[in-house]
Amino acid sequence: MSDFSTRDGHDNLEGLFAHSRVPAPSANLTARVVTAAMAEPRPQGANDRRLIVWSAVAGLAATLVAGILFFANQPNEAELWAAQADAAGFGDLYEWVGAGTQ
Amino acid sequence: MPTIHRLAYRLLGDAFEAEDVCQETFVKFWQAASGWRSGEAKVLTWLCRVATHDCYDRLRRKRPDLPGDLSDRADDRMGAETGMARSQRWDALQAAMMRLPERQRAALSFCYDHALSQREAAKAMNIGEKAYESLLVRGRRTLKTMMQEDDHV
Repeated sequence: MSDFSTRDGHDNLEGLFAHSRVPAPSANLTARVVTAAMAEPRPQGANDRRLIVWSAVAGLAATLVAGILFFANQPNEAELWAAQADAAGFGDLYEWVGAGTQ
Repeated sequence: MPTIHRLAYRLLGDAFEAEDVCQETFVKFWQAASGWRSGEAKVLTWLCRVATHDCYDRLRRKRPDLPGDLSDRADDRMGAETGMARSQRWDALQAAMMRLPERQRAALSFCYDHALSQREAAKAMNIGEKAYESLLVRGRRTLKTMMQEDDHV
């Protein structure tokens, strides 16, 4: 029996959500996403300087991530994305990763 | 990534499909990144918006009987599953969530999984803050009723 009926519904929802079972994403999901992203056509915005940086380092970044995945049994997702962001010159854009995965 | 995966799981009830949503969302982000202008939107809000609408599309494809504006009707199909089958797949909360209308499900997930602030959650859902609050109130009420009913089964 859930304890929903024994306490105030609003407050109790916090506890129910906190203890609710949510499967963790697969360990290889980040690598899968990076692989899928690299397989996509180049982003739009040919005049954007960042695109030039992005395109130039995309292969390097993919290699870097693949290397990290190879050497790490349990790759740290935040580190992977941070490395990817640094390599691609998009550090600011990925700042959320640190906050979102802590 | 875990934030998007959790949101998609709450909406779809399927961990593998949630991973597909993650992939599509981040690939879209990847493609949009070169045109990004700082200050346009918070990245996580943008990601949540894309993921939420991807989930809505997937749910719509599974339930073509519902009107296109995302009905507030409860998901009777999920309720048709036996309690045992549901408990094997989902815990009690997720089983009740799966019977909520999609938008209430999303609002509750944003609120209680602490993915975004109220303002950002409303933005991610493309609705006003008042509408978001209304969805939360209805969602809490419906969820409470469903879980109390389940207690008596």
